[in-house]
Amino acid sequence: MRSAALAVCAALLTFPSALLGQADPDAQVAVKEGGMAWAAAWNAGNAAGIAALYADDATLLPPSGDAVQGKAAIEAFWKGVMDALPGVTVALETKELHNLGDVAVEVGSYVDTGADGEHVDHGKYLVVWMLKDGSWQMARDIWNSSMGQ
Amino acid sequence: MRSAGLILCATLLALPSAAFGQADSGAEAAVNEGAVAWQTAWNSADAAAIAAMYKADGIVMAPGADAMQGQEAIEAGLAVAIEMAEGSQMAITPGEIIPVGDDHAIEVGSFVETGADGSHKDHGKYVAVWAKVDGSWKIVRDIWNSSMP
Repeated sequence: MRSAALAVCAALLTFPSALLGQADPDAQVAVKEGGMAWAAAWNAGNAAGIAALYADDATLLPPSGDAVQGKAAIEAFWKGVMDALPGVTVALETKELHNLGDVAVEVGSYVDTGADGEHVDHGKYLVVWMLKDGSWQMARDIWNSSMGQ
Repeated sequence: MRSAGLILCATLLALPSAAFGQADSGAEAAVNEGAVAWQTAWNSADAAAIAAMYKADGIVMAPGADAMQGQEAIEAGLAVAIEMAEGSQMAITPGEIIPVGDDHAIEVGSFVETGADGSHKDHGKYVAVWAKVDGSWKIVRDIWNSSMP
């Protein structure tokens, strides 16, 4: 019995870590729901709702400014952007999700539309999601516009 | 004896992977060397050398354009950017390197672009996702933006 137990143990130890601590099967669900929540919060002018999706120590990397560190500063940032763009709504689309265990990389696109339906901007983003205490949170968020400069 | 074996196994399984003396994946060295290689290639106007750093299906998400996928598209896009930069010099600094498992890493860094005449041209930040492919590290996703207003 001992040798069988040790054999099982040895087999477990040689498996790649992804099998030991199996990648959270809900990463895809979490990212999809997170994206929907993000867009819904933006469209409702709810900066706290956006910020809730980020990790406490997240880093936001917006264009035209310096990196923004931490959830509180991130909330203030998004409030400022929404105040500056009244009536603008956003549509987000996940293009890829690379699930690397307790870290997932999302690549997606965004479209901003003005209050009167005019096209304001479109671009792409990359979000590093991290699994912390059982929930997926946005840890690094960077984007840029695809429109000609 | 069986219970001692099982307890030992359970103890070993409970230790963080670092306790097993898990080999350093080489991510940090590769990413730091990569930053030097990328800026050296840019500074030498060598778009092909930059493109070679990317995985065959790698994607570059540059501002002002749609995403570019594949070394051919990346080389072509960077050749245009280099030409338009008219001899600018890049200084790239990896600020944060996050190893993910044995064969991935996420890099968050900053860059400063100086004109050929020594004037400050641009400064910004980037996120690069690296993967170890057949023993060598390649960039799989790369996105940046300017921090200038």
